[in-house]
Amino acid sequence: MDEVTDSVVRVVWDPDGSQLILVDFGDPMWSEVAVDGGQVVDVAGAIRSPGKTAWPRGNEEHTLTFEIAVETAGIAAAFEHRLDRAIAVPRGQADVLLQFESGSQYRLRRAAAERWPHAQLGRLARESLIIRGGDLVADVGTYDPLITWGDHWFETEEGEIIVSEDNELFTWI
Amino acid sequence: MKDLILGIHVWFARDGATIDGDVVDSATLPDFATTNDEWLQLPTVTAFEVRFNKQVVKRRGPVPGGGRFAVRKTIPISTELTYAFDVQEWDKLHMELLFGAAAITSPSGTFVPGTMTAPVAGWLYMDAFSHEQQRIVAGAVRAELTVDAFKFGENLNDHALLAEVIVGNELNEHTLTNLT
Repeated sequence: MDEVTDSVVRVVWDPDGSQLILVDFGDPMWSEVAVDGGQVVDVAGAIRSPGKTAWPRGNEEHTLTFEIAVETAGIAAAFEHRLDRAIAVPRGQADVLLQFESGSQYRLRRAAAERWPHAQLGRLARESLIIRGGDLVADVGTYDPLITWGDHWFETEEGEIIVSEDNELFTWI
Repeated sequence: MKDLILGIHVWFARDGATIDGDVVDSATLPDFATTNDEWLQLPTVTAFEVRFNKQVVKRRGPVPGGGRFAVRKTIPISTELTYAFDVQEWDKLHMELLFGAAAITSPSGTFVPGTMTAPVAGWLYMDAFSHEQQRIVAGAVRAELTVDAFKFGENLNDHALLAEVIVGNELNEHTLTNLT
């Protein structure tokens, strides 16, 4: 039995700039938002040492993943939605904010979207995002994000604007 | 009011057959009312089961108060419909389906078992009556027929005729009568 669960967390891309909502509270999720972390560790041995020694080297790395479900009008509409979202994946570098309804917030710093695989089950789109970032810190700022992923269009890292040729779909932020 | 559907009569118009001058296919449904003597009437049906299966995705949300999820709604993805008939007697069509024969030569009756490659498709017309001989449901659907594996023995067991209804066909239609 396939099932989706409502998100308990809001994910906001670039809280200091575009404030784009990638996942909102209550969005149906195939896979909940997850943040896996790690750091660089050197392990060195000494001559006749009883055990090796591990050295933390910083360079923390976190990977934020989720799979969001979007109910669309039909099977073709689901595919279109997937492509719209693929185009609208932010291509630059920014921080990512995780907000909870309790008020606590977390910030994944210096992040970039690495991959955005997508699929669908009937008219139910399955849109994933894999964001690689640096360190994870608590955040106490006040934000009021209004824009949702897919409703707006973005620049590439080189500043090229991703739009259709006739510019009709383009909305500047 | 309690209605029992007791009498099920089933006819089949097979793809490729000529009925009333027209070749039967997925877009050509012969008018049963005027051509029923040209349809193949299937043997006595003793039981009839409608199986409507839906593939759904359940959407779960947190329950107020927290700590657990509960189903908020279901999202249908696809549906399938099967009519399952229990049938007493055997006819050529049922034997063809049981043995998986590509065709049965008429009138010699020769066939090659296990050579069926395409499903036996056509139109299934069903006429179902209550215990008071009132028509309850009637109509035709596009269907593909199969017969379940069957063990012959010294008994009077029914065999199962399964009709996978081709739900997407626009000519499928049933009519309900004599029900409140």
